[in-house]
Amino acid sequence: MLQARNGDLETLNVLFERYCGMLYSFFMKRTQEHSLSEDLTQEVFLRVLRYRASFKDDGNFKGWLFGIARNIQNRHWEKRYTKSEILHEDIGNEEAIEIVDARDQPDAEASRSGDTALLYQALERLSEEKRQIVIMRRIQNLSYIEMARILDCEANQLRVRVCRAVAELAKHMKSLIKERPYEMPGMQ
Amino acid sequence: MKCQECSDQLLAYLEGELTMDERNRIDHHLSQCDNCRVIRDEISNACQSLDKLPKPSETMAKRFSAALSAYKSGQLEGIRLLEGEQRKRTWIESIARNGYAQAAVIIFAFLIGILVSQSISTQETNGNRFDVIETELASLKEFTALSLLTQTSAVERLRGLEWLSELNLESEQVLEALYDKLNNDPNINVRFAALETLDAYAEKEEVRRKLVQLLETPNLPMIRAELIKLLVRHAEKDSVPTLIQISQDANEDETIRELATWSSQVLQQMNTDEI
Ligand SMILES: [Zn+2]
Repeated sequence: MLQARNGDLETLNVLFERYCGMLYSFFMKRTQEHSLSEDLTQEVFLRVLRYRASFKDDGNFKGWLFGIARNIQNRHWEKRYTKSEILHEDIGNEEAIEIVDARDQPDAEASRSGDTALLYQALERLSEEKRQIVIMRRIQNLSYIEMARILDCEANQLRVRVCRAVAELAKHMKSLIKERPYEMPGMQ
Repeated sequence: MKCQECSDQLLAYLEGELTMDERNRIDHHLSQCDNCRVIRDEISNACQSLDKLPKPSETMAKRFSAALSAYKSGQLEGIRLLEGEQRKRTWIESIARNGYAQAAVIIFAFLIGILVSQSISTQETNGNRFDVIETELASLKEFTALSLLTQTSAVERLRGLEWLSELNLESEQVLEALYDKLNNDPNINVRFAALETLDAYAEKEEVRRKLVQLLETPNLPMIRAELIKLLVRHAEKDSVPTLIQISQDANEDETIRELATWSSQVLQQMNTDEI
């Protein structure tokens, strides 16, 4: 991060690779809207780009980043309340739009169902480091080698770390189901 | 094989990332260990749930790269000049000297990355400075939005228009890009969106004048119809000659001719009413 602060913009690309998945999931949990979550993620990084000089050397980058994310999230809700409708949804509903990449379209059913909410909740119970690698591997579908490059660590170690994190995630899901047995009929 | 060694590899096992040899050893352990089989099933279920979640698209990264290169390409030289420790220190000091406790809170918020919102810019004492920052950020977004308009994916171009309409900027570059999209974009939705965005600018006389000019150039009938309606909505009486011409043009689409006849009458009527 300090490098980015000092003007090396390439570093920002790496930071984007490292944290875009986490931020996207952060916004998905809160908005349940795919394109909106992508836009808000982008917005966070534009602000990182713009405000990187104000990041302090000793500071915690993730904390700073998610501080920005929370702020953008709050501002978004304020805007939503004042504007009755945003163009965003109009576009989303246009059937006629040419779809270039089918993967751009989220599985609408999955994003609405109860187990999605539960899964995002379980993800947030993981430590940031574990959440990051689970998201990179199982949501962004990055290879271990790619992840090793982005995170600057060893691929074989990553396999074990992701495995432990997913096992822990499974435990959190289990206990969340127990906590709210009637709200999540889909999860057995 | 110990349970820990087995369970640590179960994800890679399920993902097919292990060598044949490693795989056989896990299979052997699983056949004898209930505990590890339970863990395998749990991991497998968690993976299935994760697979159902929406994924961020690859274009998200491309968009950010586009923003970065727009930034780097020097179009934002002005913004870059405003950046850096020195300037930051100067304005922090100048506000701090004024001694407003509230301002200090604001600076702190700024430093930890909490962003300047409208409530802050309404403060009269130092609102201007924050307005400047917001304007800089807006131009950064403007460049990103303009670069989105050049993407091959229509979805991306629509996204660019959407960003522009949110920014509501009145720069020459934005207007030129919108005129271009309105007339030349291969995707009709993008053309519609461009027209919709231009609607917000149509209060300005020069924008309306340009739109009248564009009415004289060929476009899809549906777009032309919307353009005519827009001009009527904004009571653009200078469009009357063009509308009359369209209504008399035998090569013109029948519906458009009818609409043009009706619109020219409505506009002329408005004219006499005003006098
Ligand atoms: Zn075992």
